[in-house]
Amino acid sequence: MIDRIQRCITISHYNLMLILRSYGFLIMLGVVITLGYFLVPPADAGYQTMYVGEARSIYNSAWLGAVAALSSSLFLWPFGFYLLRGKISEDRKLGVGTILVPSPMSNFHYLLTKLISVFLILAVMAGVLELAFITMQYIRLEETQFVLHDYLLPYVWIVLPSLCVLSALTILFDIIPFMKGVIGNIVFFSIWTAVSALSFSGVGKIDIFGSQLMFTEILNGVQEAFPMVNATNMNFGYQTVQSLLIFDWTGIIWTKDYVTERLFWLLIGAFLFLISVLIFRRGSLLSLEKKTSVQNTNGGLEKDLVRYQPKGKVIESVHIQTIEGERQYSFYYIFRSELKLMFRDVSLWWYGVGIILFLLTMFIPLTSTKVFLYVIWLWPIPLLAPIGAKEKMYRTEQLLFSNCPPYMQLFAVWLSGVFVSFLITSGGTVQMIAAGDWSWLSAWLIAIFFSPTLALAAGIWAGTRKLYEAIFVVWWIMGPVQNAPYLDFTGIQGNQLTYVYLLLTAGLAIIAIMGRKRQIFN
Amino acid sequence: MELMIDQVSKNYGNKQALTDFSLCLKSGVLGLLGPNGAGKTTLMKILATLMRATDGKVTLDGMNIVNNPKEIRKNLGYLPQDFGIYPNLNVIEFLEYMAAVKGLPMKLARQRIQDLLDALNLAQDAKRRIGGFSGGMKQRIGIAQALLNDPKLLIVDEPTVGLDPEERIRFRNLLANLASGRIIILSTHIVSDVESIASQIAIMSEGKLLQHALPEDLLIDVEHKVWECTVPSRQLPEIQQSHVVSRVFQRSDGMHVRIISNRRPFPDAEMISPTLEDAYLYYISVRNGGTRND
Repeated sequence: MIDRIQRCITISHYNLMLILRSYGFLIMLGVVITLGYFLVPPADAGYQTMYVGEARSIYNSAWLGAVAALSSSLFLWPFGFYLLRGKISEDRKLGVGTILVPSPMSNFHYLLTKLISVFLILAVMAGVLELAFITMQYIRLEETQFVLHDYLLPYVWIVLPSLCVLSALTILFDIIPFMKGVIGNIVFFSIWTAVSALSFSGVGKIDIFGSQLMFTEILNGVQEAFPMVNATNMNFGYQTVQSLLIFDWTGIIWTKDYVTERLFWLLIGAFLFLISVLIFRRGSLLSLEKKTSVQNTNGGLEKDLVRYQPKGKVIESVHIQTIEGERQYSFYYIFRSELKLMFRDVSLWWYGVGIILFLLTMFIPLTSTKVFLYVIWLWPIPLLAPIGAKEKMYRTEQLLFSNCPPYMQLFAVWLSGVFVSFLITSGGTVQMIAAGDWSWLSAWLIAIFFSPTLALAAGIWAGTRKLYEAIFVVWWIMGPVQNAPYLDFTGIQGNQLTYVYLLLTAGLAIIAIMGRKRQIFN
Repeated sequence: MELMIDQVSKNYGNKQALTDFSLCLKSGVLGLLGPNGAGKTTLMKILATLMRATDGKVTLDGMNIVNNPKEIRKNLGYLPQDFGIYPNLNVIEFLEYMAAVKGLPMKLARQRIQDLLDALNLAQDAKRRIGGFSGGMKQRIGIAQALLNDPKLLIVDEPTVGLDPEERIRFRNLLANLASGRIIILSTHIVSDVESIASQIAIMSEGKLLQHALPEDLLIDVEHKVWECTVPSRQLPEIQQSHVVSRVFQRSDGMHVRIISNRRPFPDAEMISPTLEDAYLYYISVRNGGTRND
């Protein structure tokens, strides 16, 4: 038993190291630290991220520990899911599955190592956010006394149970075959949205993010400090404020009931994990392509055997004709090939839903509803996410970079991403032109360049599609959906930041070019 | 056509992968031999414009490859030792993709792809997805992409890994037919691959060029240095410790051991004709400061 546990720990440790040593993790740390900075605005910033009524506490350890816990619990869900999903699929893609399947490790232990490593990575990310908040306490300097348990206890009782459920879901979505792709992304996003709404509204006691628990405690503090304030709900997210009532919150008093409530989520995580164990088929770790190829051959194995029979004849001399004339690189051919590669595995239903979304964005008046205008930005994600990472993912760098001008190919890849982005969002473009809303149109057009440029830069540096998926989805939620300052890249919420995003896109393009330079001579 | 490698060095931090490596090549097949870590792949990456030398320069027909990578790539075919392919494409789609990135006109590319599919015995599987292919078939696709643009400089790193004996012979025939009018650099551990087609051979070790010569000259160097003797099997470990043993085979009268040594290793050892494999081992182990009793 002890031996098994030791093996589990060793494997989880190396799984963790694999991720900690990646560029993607470094970039993710940068994003988490930046998030920490913006979630603790100065008193005169004109916005707040967590307050009750018109009140918030001074930035003491109790308050910042609570905000950090809630932020980790809430935002790491989409971010962590998109970044870490596919750890089992990776084993199959990398061919590690061929080694793992015949190994004596049981399904339970294999999945447990995956669960532990995903959980540890999420815990590290949340830990970094905690450290960012501790730093912010000394940057804002509203209160200098550092109270360790005010940071530690919300981390332990709020963040970790929530991340436990998230880890289990990440594994589960990677095991259910139809949840691995776009459908899984949509289902997860719907779950996250629903669970967030329930957690914040307190309906049905589904409080996975711990927000209701925190609200009750903060509300008590507010009513003690300002009895006249009629606070009925806690707000979390970007909110503009005119004036603020500031009080000194002493933190959550952790009762047995609270702890029991949080431990319940550990049980839910364990339950989801057990479902994964039950439905996991070890054979799925073997290369998927092998199965496909057998299905593709008419006549299957028997025909293959016939085909590879020794030919029993003298091996003939082989001649290939030479090519005459000078060869010129054609940008058009490269662009066309990249576009074909991008659309190679797109399913019919993707086209179907894409066309419906296109028509909705084209014909539903802008004044009526904008929901489809921001939903349409999620649709190109499956096509854009691999554009910067595919050479690394499929190890084609050496073949490509020794054969064509690498920057020309990079430009062709980028342009094919812009083309896709333009095509899918063109319904909105047409409406804006028809409405003569040039300010919005300019922001919208820059967004068409921004999204694929972000995909390219993130993919080149991280070598995985997931970083773009994670950053873009969180950006999309906080910007176009929640209207956080400077994050609405589409201009949907009315604050058109055309020049900001133009500069940002140019910056990302430079980062992508630097990444390509590193790829060529690495 | 002339490829000039002039005093090329490459460092990875403190590790010296190539040291003052110089070689001048004209049309024909160069067999590049050397043990693991000799610097073969580093050299080939530099020639394939994938890596910059720390020192020295490489020119193809007088053109510096660092200053003119685009021009070099037009005439370059490269098969890396370790490469990937897009698994969701079939063979034709992948080769068309590679033709586009190599700057081949599509009409010409289609004809060329058909020729290569026939030559490499891939025609039957041309419409199957690559993801389901065996290692040997993937290797053949790699070879096909390297030959797509009819390169003047063809660099192939361990090209026969994963190929069955029949495919290996086909590939060797193909290279032999391609040799005229172009430079082919063939790096391998399999000496028999080089033996049959290389017009010249370079032996590398620890980032340095040990020898660059015609195969027959290498054989002359090792003439009178290859011995065969029969020993009881229990003596074999001791002999392997003290001598460079190139081959051992079991017979009813004991172990027949092939030894490379400057002196007769045992009184009853018979001098025999050397092979290229013996010559290679001689340069790597005996002449290059080997520690055994030679």
